[in-house]
Parts: sequence; C-alpha cells; structure tokens
Amino acid sequence: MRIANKYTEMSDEKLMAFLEKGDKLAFDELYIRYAKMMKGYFKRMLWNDAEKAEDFVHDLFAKIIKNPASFDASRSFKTWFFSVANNMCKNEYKKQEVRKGTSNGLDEHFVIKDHQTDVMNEVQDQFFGKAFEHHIEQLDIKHSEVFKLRHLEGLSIKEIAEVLSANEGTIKSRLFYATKYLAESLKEFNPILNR
Amino acid sequence: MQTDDLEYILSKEYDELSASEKAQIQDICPSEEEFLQMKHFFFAVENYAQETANFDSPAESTKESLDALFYQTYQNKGVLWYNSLWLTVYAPEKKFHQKPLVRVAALLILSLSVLPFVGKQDVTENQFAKLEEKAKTQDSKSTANVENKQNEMVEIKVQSPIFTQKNQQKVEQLNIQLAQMDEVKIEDVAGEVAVSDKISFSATSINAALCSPTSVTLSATGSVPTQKFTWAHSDGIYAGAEFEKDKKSENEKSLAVLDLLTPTF
Repeated sequence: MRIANKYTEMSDEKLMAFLEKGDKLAFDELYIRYAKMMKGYFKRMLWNDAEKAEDFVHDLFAKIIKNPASFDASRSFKTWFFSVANNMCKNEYKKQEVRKGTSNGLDEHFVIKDHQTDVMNEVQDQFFGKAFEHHIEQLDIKHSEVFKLRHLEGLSIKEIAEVLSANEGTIKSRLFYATKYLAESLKEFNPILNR
Repeated sequence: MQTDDLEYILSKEYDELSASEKAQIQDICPSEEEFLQMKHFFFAVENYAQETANFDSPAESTKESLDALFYQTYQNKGVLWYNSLWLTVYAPEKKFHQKPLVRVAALLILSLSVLPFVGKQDVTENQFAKLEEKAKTQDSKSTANVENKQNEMVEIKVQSPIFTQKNQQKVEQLNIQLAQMDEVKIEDVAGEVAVSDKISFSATSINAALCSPTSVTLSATGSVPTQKFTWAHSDGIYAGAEFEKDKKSENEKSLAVLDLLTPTF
C-alpha cells in the first residue's frame, strides 16, 4: 500500500527514470495515467477508429518499454509523450494518404434514452459532433492538430508548442485561424439555443 | 488578437465587455449576435470534448501484451534498492542545480569552508587576553626574581668572603716561604739539570672550600726526575742536595696534585 502510494505521488519524469531501471510498478503507474487519455487522442486523430487507437496505444507504450532512454529527462513527459503520439499519427496519415471520410447521420452504436428532451439534445449533440469532426478534417493538419490539442486534449499553448516543436506565436496564429474557420462552418449549430 | 484573450473575453457577457475588449474581438465577432454564436461554439466544443473523453480504457489484452513485453525486455533487470536511492538522490529528470545530490554537496562544501572561521574571533580575543595576563605575571615575577638575586648576591658577598682572615694569614706565610725559597741558589746539582728547567712548586691537597694548602713541596719539573732539597747539617749549612727519587709515577702525581697555584719562574 505504501509502495503504491509512493508511485502515485511521483512525477511522470521520475516514473520514467524508474521504468528505465526496470521498475514494473513505475510502468503500471504511467499506464494508468496515460493509457485512457492516449486512446482518446488516437481515436480523435485517427478517424474515430477504436481498433486502430487500441493498436496505437499498444505501440506507444511499447516504445517507452523498449527504448525509455529516448525520453529527454529535461523535457516534460506529457509533451514528449504527445509529440511521440503525434508523430505516430502523422506517419499513419502518410501511409493512408487517403483520409477517412466522416459519415453523416447517427452513429450506429448510438443508444436512445427514454426521456424525450434528452433524446433531442443527444441527437443535436450527435449532429454537432459529426459536423465538427467533418469540418475539422477539412482543415489542414497543422491547424486541426493544434485545435484538437488545445480544446480536446486540454494542453496549454506552451505545451502544444513543445509537442509540435514550434514557437508559441505560430501555435496561437494557427489556433486562431482554426477557431475562426470552425466557428464559421458550424454557424448553423447553436446547441444552447436549440435546447 | 490572441486566442487565449478570445477565450477570456468569451467567458464574459457581451454587456460586461469594455471598449478595448470589443475592439479586440471586432474582426471575429463584430456584433453581439456573432459574439453569442462564438460563445455557443466553444460551449459545444467543450461538450463534445467531454463526451469523447469518456472513452473506455484500453483492453486488458493490450495491457497483458505490454506486461509480457516488459518482462521480456527487463527480465535480467531487477529493481535494486540502491537504484531507487540513486534515482531519488540524483533525480535525472531535474536540472543540475535542482538535483538533491548537488544541493547536498554544495551545502557540505559551504559548511566545510565556513566551519574553520566559526568562532575564531572569540578564540583570538580570548587568546589575546590570556597572553596579556601571562605577560603581566611574567613581568612581575621576573622583576621580583631579579631583585631577589641581587639581594642574595649582596648577602653572599657580605656573609661568605672568598678568603677568610685565617686563610689570608696562611697565604702570606706561604708567600714568605716562597720568597725564601727564591733566595736559595740553585746550582747545578747533578750537572744534568738544565738551567732552563722550570722550578715550580705546587700546592697539594688543597681544600678548595677553605682554599688552604696543607703542605707545600718544592719540586723541579722537567725532563729529570723530581728532586727534593733537604738540609741535613745541624747549623743549617747547605751540605748538598740529596736526591730522592719519587717512586710515584707521573700519572699518579698528576691526578693527586691539583695545580691551583702554579707560578712559573
């Protein structure tokens, strides 16, 4: 119990240092912290493909098991981990070349709840979600990845700059452009007013 | 305008915006309607992010596969206690000046460099005070000693003169005898004694403390054996010298005789 607490209180960077020495508990703690987050990230970045996201999560953690020394201890683990994940996505884009299109309409796994108003809101959100995914895919990768990292993954401008190896001014400019584009494209959706 | 500024502005109501803030969002939200639309957009994106964040955790099979890979990779690497200790102390993820080991080392060096100077001022002050006291006591002692010695010297001079009156008388008598002896003409007694031979007399068995010779012999020293001059004639007429060979060896004599008074003629 005490050992478990010790690991939960450790920073990501320290856990990586322990992992490099072959500490299994350190690896488990990192997996708990990031596996779910990275699966969501991969799913968003890879056309909502859950299976592909699962494979990418496996590959990402396999990278840090096989070559933990590739982590630069002077950097933040989170930004480094996202930059590795981002590079994996870019490689995948290059492989695929043809982007996976988004389908309009309801998700086939969508479950309708009993309450009528909730149903309407859920449908509205589903539509917005699909439209959002569609329009964000229309954006250039440079702009879409910045918007996703900022608003979907919750990274700060500084962290995004580190992940993408760009300066903060460039990131802000890209983000502003993406925001303006998406706001214009999704003008027809006004989820609050429709509720 | 910066996106962070836009997010901050959108957290407010349109009526609450200042003129400068409205000017900042003029190109993206020129009117109140556009402003509300933008606010709704961000709200919807936030909802979308929350919904899509509720993904299921990766499958158990993924974790099991990773565990197997981990054990395969690190099967020969055990977690040793000193690895943990080293990582804690060295902390490779931290900057050089933030590492605990570096901080401890710096503290140690600092304390070691300062330690010799701690309390030194007090010590020197104490030492100075002690030295001053010592010097004072030594001064007083030395002056007292000098005075005592001077007094002792005076007392010795007064109480114990080197020559007492009796001794002086004896010395005077000896001088007279010696003078008489001088008058004795020493002729060539044996013909072998050279004129150049020194005639000396010495005091034997002198009591050094009293400085009083008990007996005096007149002897001739030189290459010839020691001779004694005696007068056997009843009228005291010199009848010739009778030589007696001193049977004592020269070495024994030299040890027995203490030549304190050795006038040379």
